[in-house]
Amino acid sequence: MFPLASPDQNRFQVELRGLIELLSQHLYSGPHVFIRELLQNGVDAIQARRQIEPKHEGAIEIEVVTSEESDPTIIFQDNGVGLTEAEVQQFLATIGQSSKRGEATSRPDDFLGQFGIGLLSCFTVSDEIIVLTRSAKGENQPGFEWRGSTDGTYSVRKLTEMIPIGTQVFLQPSTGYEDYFELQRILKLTRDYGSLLQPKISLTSNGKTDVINAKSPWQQDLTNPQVRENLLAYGTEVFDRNFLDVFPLHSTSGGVTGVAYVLSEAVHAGSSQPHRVYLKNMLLSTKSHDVLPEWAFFVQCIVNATQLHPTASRESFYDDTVLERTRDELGDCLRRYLVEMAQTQPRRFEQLIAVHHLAVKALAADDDECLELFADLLPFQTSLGTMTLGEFRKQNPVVRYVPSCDQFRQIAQVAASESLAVINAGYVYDVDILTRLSRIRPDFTLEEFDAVQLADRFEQLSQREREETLEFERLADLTLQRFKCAVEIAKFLPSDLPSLYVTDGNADFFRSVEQAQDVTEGVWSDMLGDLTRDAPSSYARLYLNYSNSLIQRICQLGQAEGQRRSVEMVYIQALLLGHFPLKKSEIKLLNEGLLGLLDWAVGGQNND
Amino acid sequence: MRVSWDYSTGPLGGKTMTEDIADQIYNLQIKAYQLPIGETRLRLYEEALRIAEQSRDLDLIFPARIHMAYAAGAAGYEEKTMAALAWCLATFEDNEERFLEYEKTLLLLFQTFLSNISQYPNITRDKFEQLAGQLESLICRFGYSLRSVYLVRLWFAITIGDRLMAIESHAKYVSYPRDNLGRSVVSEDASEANLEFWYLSFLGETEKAIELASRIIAEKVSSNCVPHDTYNCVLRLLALLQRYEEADDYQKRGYRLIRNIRGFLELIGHQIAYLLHRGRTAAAIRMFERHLLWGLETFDLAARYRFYTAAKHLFTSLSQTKSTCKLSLPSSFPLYKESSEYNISQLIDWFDKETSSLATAFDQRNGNDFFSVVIPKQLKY
Repeated sequence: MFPLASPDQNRFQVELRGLIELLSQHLYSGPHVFIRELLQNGVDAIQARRQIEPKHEGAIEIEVVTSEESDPTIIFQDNGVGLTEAEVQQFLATIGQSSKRGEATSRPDDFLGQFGIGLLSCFTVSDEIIVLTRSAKGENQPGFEWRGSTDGTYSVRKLTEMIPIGTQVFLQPSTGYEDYFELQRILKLTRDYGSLLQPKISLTSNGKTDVINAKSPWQQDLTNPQVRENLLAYGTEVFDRNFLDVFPLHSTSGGVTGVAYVLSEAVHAGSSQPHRVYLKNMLLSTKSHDVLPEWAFFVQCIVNATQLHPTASRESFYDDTVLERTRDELGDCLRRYLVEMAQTQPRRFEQLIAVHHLAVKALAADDDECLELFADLLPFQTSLGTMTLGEFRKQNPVVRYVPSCDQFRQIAQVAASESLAVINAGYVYDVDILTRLSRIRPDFTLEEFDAVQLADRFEQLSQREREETLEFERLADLTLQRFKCAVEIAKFLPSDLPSLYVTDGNADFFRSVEQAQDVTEGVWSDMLGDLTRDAPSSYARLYLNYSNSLIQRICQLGQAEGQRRSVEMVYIQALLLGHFPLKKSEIKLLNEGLLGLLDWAVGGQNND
Repeated sequence: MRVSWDYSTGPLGGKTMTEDIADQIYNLQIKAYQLPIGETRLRLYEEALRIAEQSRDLDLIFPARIHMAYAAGAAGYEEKTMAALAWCLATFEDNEERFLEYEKTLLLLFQTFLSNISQYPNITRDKFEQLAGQLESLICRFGYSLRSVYLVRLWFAITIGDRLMAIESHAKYVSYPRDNLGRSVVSEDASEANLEFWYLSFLGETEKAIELASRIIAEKVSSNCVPHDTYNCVLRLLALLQRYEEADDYQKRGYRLIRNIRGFLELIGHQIAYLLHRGRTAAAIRMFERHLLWGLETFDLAARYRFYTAAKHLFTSLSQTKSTCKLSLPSSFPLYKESSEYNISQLIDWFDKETSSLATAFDQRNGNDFFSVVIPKQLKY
C-alpha cells in the first residue's frame, strides 16, 4: 500500500505566458479584444463611482502617443472609482479576481465585466502593463502605480505626486503586435466596441481628438421617413449590403431593443444571417446567429440586450431559457411585422414575398395563424407556370400536387399540354404547407396527384385504332416486361412527344436497389432482397403517344423485330429524358438496340 | 436511437470536376449542403446523383452516391442508404485504387449504417456478425483503429437490449484509440458523448446519464444527432426524478430540433410518452397526427415500433374518458375515416396488432424480450 500523501496544502502554480496564450488563442477571437476589455473596465469603474457620487459625469479618454524614436504608447484613462492600495493588491495581482464579482444581487445591473480577466487581455499585445490609479473612496487618497509583466511578476508603488481620481493604463506593443497600436486601427476598434456606450469617450493623437460616442440607431422615430432612410443607409454601411426595409425589434425577455433589416435579395432556406449584437451598449458580436428564430433567415438585425448572459469570451450569449424566450419574443416582432404588412399594405407585402417567399413559407410552416393569413399569397411552381396559391385556387377548386420535383418533371410537359394544373410541391416546406392548409381550412380540397392519374385524362384510341394496335401493344408490353414496365398506347399532347414514362417514388427506389443487386452478392444481396420484399411492389408505365407520327409509323411497321427494337429505344429515350439512371441491363439494351436497329435498317440478317 | 449521419467535409471534390456536368453536380451538392437535414436536401443530392449517372462517369457517380447515402441516412431514409452503400462497397472493392481517396468517407458511411442496422428485424445476428466482420477486415486493411468496430457492436447491443454484449463491447471500444475516420474532432466528440449517454441510460445509470446529458447541453456539443437525442431521451430520466422544470424546457427545445426530420421518428415516440406523462394529452395527440405518416412510411421498424407503442399508450389513456375522438389523420392510414371521427378502441386494437407483430419479430431476432417488455415500459411512466 502506498503511504498517504502529506496533508500539506500546496498552491497551484500558474504560468502566466501559457494562460495568456490560452486566452488569446482559445477564449478570445483575437488580440484586438484588449480594447473592448479596457473599455469595459472603464465603464464599470465609472458606474461604481456613480454609486458613491450619483451625479458623477463619467469620461474615458484614450490617447495614442507616437514618436519617431520609440514605439507608440496607448494611455487609456477613466475617471471612475479607481483602486485603493488594498484593492490594487487584491484585484490586479490575482488572476480571476474581479472587483465586480460578488453576490449577483449586490452587483449593479449595468456592470459589463464579471470574470476578472479583462486586464490580462492587454498582455496579448503588450509585455508590460502599467496602471496608475487613485481611489474615489475617502478623501485625499494617494495614487498607486502597478506594473505587471508577462513573466508573472508585478510591483506596486505609492505615488508621491497627485493624479486624478480614476485609472490610467499605459501599454506599449510587444514585438509583432505594433499593428494593434496604429491610430486608425484603435479608432475603428474603439468605435466598433464603444460608440454606443454612455460615458463620453474620446480618442486623441497628435493634437486631434475624435469623439467616439454615437446615438443608438434604433432610439429614433422610425415612422419619420428621413430617419428610416438614414437607418437603411446605416444598415448598408454596417452590413455592406442593401436592404428593402427596416423595422423595430423589442423583447422584454433579455431586455432587447434594436432594428431588423429585410434583405434585398432572396436567400436559401436554412441559411443563417450574422447579426450585430450589443450587450449593455458594448459590442458583443458581429456574427451572432442565435438571437432570432431559425425561420427568420430573411433579416439581419442590430440589437442591444441588457439582460442576456454573455459567455466568458463575451463574444456570444449563453443558450439559456432567457435567450430562448428572447428569441421567441423577437420572432413575435417579426411575425407582427409581416402580419401587419399583409393586412394593411398588401402591395408591399406582395413585393416582399416576391423576394422572400421561402422565409414566409418557413414561417407559415411553423405557425397556423400565419399560414392562414399568408397562404393565398405564396407562390408555387405549377404545370401552368408560377402562380400564387390564391390564383391557383381561383381556377382550380381542387389543389392537385406532386410531392417531388422528379414526379413533376415527369408529368409537367404533358400536364401543361392537357391544361391540367398541378403544383410542384417538391420544394422545401411546400408539402407541409399544403397538407396543413387542408387540415385548417375546411374549403381547401387537396389531392396528391399520381402521375398514373394523368393517363385518365388521355384520349382513348378509337375502336378501329385499338384493333390495329392491339398486337403491337402486346409485343411492346412483352418486350419491356423484364424491366418491370407496362406499355399502354394512348393519345396525348404534345404530339411531338413520342412517349411518357411514369413511375412512383417506390419505382425509383426499386431501381436503385436493382442497381445495387447487379453488383452485390452474399449478405448484401440477401438484405437488398428483403428490402424489396418489404416495399410495396411497383411497376413503371410507358405510354406510347398515338398522336405522335413516329409512334404511329412504328405501330404500322408490320415487322416484329423492327417494332421490338424501336420500342426498346423509345423506352431508353424516355428514361434518358426523365433523367432516370440506367441499370446494367438497360445499358446493355441501349448498346444492343442501337446496333440491332442499324442492322435492321440496313437490311441485315435479323431483318425478317 | 440513431447514430449521427455526419462527416466533416462539404461536397466531395472529384478529380474530374471540371466539365459542365460536373459543375452542375457540384452546384446541386453545394446547394444541398447548405440546407438543413431533411427531404429537400436529400432530393437535391438524388438529383445530383441522377445527373452523375447520366454521364456514366464512375468518377462522378461514386462520390455522388456516397453523398446521397449520407443525406438519405440523415433524413431517415436508411433503406436508400443501404442500396447506395451496397453498391459503393462493391464498386470500391472492384476499383480500390481508383477510389482510394474516398476510403475514409466510405468506411464512416459503413460504420454509421451498421450502427443503425438493428432497426431491420430480418437482419439476423448472424448476418450482423458477417457485416461487422466485413467492416473489421476493411478497417484492418486500411490501418484504422478497431474502436469503430466495437462502437458498431456496442450500438447493436444497446439497440437489441443485450446487456452482456454491450458491457463487453464498451470495454473493448474504450480500449482502442480514436481515429475520427471521416469525422471532424468536434463531430467525433459529439458522437461519442451521445453513445456514452445511451450506454449509461441503457445500464440504468440514471444520475450519470443526466449528468452527461447536462454537460452535452451546456457545452453545446453538436452533431446531426446531438443534442437532438439528448434533449428527447433525458425527458424520462428527468421525469422519474421529478425535475419537471428542466424536462419541460428540454421537451420544447428537443421537439423544435426534430419536428421536421423523419429520421427522428423514434424520438417523437419519446416526446409523446413525456407529454402523456405530463397530462398534456392534446399536445400529444397533435404530435401523433403530425407524424403518423412518418410511422406509416418508414422502413425503420424499430422507430415505427416505438412511435406506435407511444401512440397505443396515448389512446389507451384517452379511452378512459371517451370512446371516440376527432383526429386529422392521413388518408393512407388503414383506419382512415373521411369524417375524421375515430373509435378509440379500434385505434388501440390496430396499434396493438402492429406493435405485437413487430415485437415478436424483434424479440425473435434479439433472443430476449427487450421489445415486448422493456421498451413499452420505457414509454409509459
